[in-house]
Amino acid sequence: MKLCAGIDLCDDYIIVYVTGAAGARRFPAVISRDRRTDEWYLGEEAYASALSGKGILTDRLLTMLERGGTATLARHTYSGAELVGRLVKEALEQQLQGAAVSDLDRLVIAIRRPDPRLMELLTEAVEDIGINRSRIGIVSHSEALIRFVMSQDRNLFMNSCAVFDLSDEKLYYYEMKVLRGSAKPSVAAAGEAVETSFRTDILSSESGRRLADRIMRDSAERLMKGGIYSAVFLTGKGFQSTDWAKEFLAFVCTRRRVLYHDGLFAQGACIAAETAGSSEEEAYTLLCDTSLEYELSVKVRIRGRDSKLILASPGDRWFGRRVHAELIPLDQDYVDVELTPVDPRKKSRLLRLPLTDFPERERGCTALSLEADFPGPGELSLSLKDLGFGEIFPASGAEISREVEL
Amino acid sequence: MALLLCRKRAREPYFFEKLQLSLGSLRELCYVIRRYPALCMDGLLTQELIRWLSAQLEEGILAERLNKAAGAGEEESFLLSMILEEGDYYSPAEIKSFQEEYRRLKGLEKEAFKKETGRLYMEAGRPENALGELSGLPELYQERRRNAGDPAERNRLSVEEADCYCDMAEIHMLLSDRGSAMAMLEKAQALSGSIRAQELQYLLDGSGKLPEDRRRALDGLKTSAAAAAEGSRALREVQRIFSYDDDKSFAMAETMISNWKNEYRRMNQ
Repeated sequence: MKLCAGIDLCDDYIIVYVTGAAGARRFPAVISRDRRTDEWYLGEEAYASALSGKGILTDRLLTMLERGGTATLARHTYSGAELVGRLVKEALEQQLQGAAVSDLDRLVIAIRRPDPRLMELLTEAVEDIGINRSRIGIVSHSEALIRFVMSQDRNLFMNSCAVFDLSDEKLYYYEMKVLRGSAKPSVAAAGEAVETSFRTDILSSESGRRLADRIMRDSAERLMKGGIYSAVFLTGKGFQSTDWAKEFLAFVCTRRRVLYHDGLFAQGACIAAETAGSSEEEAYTLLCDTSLEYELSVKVRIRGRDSKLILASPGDRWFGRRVHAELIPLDQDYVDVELTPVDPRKKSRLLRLPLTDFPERERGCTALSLEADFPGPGELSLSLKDLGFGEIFPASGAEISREVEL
Repeated sequence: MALLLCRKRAREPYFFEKLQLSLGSLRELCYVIRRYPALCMDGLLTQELIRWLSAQLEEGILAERLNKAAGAGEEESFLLSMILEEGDYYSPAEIKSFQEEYRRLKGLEKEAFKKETGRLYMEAGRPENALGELSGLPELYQERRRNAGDPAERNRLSVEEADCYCDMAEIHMLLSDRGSAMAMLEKAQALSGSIRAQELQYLLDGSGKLPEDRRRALDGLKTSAAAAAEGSRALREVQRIFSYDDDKSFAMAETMISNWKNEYRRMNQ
């Protein structure tokens, strides 16, 4: 059996789920270093060492990594990448029960916002603790949610699923839906921070609990209005006890199943790790903030017949993806790239790349390199380069590029 | 209007000696076959090429079909057409026109075929090869002239031979070999009072009896050619500066310094 792990990583917590484990384990996302020795503490232990004056504590590590910040602990300056790597390593080692971090076949980390720069920085930070880049994956909470729910009983996702994620500082709401009707169903998920939110500190007083319950109920009514839900998942530290949320629960528990799962995103990330690299085709098309919601294609002629060259398909992950095709235009001074959304209600788009300033040559004697990459969610970058035609017509270096908002 | 999808490129290109050209893909091979058919006849289709198609372009099936067809004694045009069809680069109509061109070339007399080959070499930017091809032609014309009984036919052959000398003179001019060009023009003028030979001579040294308007036209031609050559020289200089290779120049400098040192040692001995 493969040894895989999934991590849900935020500024305030880290949750680890390892293949075959009974459950996920949550730690506050803080680490401390002993003042005298090179000993590190994680989570509650880190708080304890700092309180006793033995260690120096640091937190909000993901933000530190993103901003290129540093922290000085016991006269040593550590980069955000080093500290995040240390946090991940310490958390994994506590769950791996004797196995080394480098023994992992695959590690997938779920983060809230799939920012390509953060994803790259995080990959590099984890690479530095001894896990090969090819064995690291970064997914969003939306993707982890799909992976988790789709591994559950199908009655749970017959209709939409709602997820309330209540962290210390904010409430997040996610929705997931299976879109049937084609040979391969699509599963779409999206999430957002709820504006009318609260800090979980208020749950310490009776009036605060009542206010929180009211906010939760109002939010649930507004967000779930008009939808048909098979299941509602509750996750996050705020739901570790639901005594304060009577009104909210009374609303969400009506004609649907309500489940509490603290390590939902970590377990989803672990499932993503287990299924990655499998030769089997996925049973569904993934539609979320880490995947493409459209097909990218070019019409080419093969043996006299028009056919479609698919460069990227719906469900393909955009992060780190770069597609490439070499084409020869015949009697045309442009290349059309077609974007076909998976949603049939949306219109297809034709992106024309004109061969302006490309050298004029004999018919069929200009090979072009078409490259497409995806700098971020909803962004597409296209470039067209003159490759010439072997030694017969050397490449001119002419190039055009186009950035497209999707 | 269409877009063709490029196929696999060879890691090691196939060197087509006649054109001094490295071919890296099946499409490039197709282009050469259709563009320079006379140069591809009796020489391109070798076992080495078939092995290259199979090993470098992963066109094993095509290679097998070519071997089978060659073994069955099929004509070369058929084999070349097979490559064109498999290349998916030319339309059936274009492949048909290649076959017609191949048949036309096969039907040409030796002299006409050599002329055609020379013309293609010139189009491919290989004037030395064109010269090599044309240099055997006068002898062929002379032999045919000797055997021709009809004076009109002898006269026609003389004109063609003079024309061939003019072609060669033009190539020598292109290669900046003024002496050889003059020699060719003298031979051409000795055979017939060719106007073309007189014009070429005028372009070379300003001599020859030509009408005034023709002289003026040729002077204009000469001026614009000189301007174009100057532009091309300037362009080459820019390209040279941009492609300046540090490693190469350091190596050259090293060699120069070591030569100077040796010279100095020899002087002091």
